[in-house]
Amino acid sequence: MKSEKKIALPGERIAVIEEFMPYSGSYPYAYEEDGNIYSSVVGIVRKDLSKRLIAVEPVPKCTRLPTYNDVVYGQVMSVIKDTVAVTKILGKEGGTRYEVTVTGLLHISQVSETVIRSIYDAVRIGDYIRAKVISRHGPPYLLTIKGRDLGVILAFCPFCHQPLRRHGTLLQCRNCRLSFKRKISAMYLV
Amino acid sequence: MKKSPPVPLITPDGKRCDGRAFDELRPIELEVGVLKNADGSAMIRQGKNIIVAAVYGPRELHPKHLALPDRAVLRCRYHMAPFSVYGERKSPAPTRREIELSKVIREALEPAIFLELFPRCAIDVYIEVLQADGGTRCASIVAASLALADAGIPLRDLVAAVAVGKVQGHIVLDINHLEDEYGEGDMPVAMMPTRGVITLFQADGVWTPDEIKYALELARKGIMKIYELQKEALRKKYEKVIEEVEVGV
Repeated sequence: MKSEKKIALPGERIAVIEEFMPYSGSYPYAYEEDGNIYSSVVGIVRKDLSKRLIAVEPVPKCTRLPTYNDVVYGQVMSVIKDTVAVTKILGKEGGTRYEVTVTGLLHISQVSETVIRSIYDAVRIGDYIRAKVISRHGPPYLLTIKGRDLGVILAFCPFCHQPLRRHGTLLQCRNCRLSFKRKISAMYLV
Repeated sequence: MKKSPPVPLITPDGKRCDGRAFDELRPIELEVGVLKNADGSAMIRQGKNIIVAAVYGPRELHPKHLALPDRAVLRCRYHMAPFSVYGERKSPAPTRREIELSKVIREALEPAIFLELFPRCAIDVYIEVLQADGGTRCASIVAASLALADAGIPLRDLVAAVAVGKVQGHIVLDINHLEDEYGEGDMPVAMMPTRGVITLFQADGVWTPDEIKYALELARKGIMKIYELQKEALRKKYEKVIEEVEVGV
């Protein structure tokens, strides 16, 4: 895409509909009204002259809500009917941290390719997970932990609250000599 | 009967109490991104008015029963600092007037924001009046719309606002505290300037239809001037940011 040096401001007309189509990404930063295309944010105008698309890339650096395919980190807060883990999303991969957390839902069907009986075989309350967003709208955002790098990245012993260590396909507490079943991410921390 | 003003509101040579012409704005300074902790912020100095606006969001709304399934909730808080007014200290608790102005400002900003893009979310606008000298609701709207743009929230247009007043039979632009208190009427107007859509229109006092027509035209001219200043303030901050990005690449 070709970019212009000039910045577009909210409400500024950047093209007419005969010239370009507004590119519809996750948010319509360029939008059409009455045959004119306007910018809705402060941003850099990008034009694709072969596809006749026009987009505005926003400049303000601020926390943005997760979008489709974002990798997020969260903590499991509660479980509904053994099938859905309610997760608070703490941040996005790449450095975004949410001061006010966002709700994510992890359904039992999005844990692994094989059938599991209860979501407690994959995550437990208090676990930190690395997940991917599979919904386009939210909150609440739908999450998946299918995949090698996704799943529990940190869990604690329910009895002594020490971090559990990875032991083969299980998590183990060295203090209490107990093993726990989880859907462990390849990026498990300890 | 109202007391007479401490200084003549209109001088014999056809000027106003602060030396302005009838269709002259107070000097306006706008600055974007003044606060570090907010997602977006802006400050306005309009004559003696000093107002800071901060925007947070869009973020998840709690408690959830307040959330709307099809759009975001815009929440506005207009607040005057205890030291903001002349004379006796203002109580820091929200007064009836502040609650009403919060609603009025919210309704002036709502049509400009793409709220339908953020269902079940909230956008918070906090407006703090540090020093008040008449026309604070309009100045607050100007600062709040800049703060919204600074937070990267999609807007149909910026919102600019100005108050027109009637002082000793003359229609004057951008009234100050004295003209507001001792004048015969005031009319705050907010607009989305490129569309010409009015988002706030209030009036008190007695106005004839011709006076309203003239006052609206005067307000529109003032709003276009403020709109240019708003654009300049945004460009001033973001042209610097873009240069940094391009040097980095």
